[in-house]
Amino acid sequence: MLYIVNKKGDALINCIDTVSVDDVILLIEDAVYAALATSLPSVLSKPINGVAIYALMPDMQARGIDVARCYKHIQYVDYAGFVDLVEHNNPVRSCY
Amino acid sequence: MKISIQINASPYQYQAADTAWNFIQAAIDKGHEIYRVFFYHDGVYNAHRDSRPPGDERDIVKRWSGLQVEHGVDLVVCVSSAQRRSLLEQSVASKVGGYENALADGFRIAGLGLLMEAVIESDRHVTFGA
Repeated sequence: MLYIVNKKGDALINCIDTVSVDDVILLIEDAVYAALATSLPSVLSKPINGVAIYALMPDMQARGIDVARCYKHIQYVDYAGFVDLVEHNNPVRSCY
Repeated sequence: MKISIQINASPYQYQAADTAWNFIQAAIDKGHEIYRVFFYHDGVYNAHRDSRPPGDERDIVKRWSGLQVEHGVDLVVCVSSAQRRSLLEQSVASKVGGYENALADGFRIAGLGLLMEAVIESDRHVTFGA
């Protein structure tokens, strides 16, 4: 399953509580802030076993988020990659 | 593959309409078919005929109308959501009264049956919310 998350907080936390092996999480819009590495532990500090986590690069750029400041286990896609994730994962669930 | 889109948030206030638009463009570029865009809840404001953003801004409503013209994408507005927000299409206005033809060119009004049909007929259904 592909989870598309568009904000931090409950939407992301509920998503992380629900995912299982082979699921994929895509962070879009304000959810990309969750990719930022923080000194205190955050919901995405550690990789989730068997779950790939992506962030939408155009939304990161729009918010001035530098990949160098983000968690290393997060991968990045543009809109074409977003479409590929939708194509290769079924079903698709939006968390907002 | 066939992809249907659902937009539940109003334009300009939330990013959903822009994210959906960029996703749709990328999907079309890759050769996918956008089976239908269904506007639900506050998403119906994407169809507001009288939207007049300043000239140096993107015109979200006109952009959707253009998508229908250029690619024949079916733009469907939920009738109940629209009625609650005073967006009456002619056939509805003639029954309940009010300003007719509030929907911009290219949009049509229908019920949730078309949302269900889109989910069934499409390979993927992607929702963009507030």
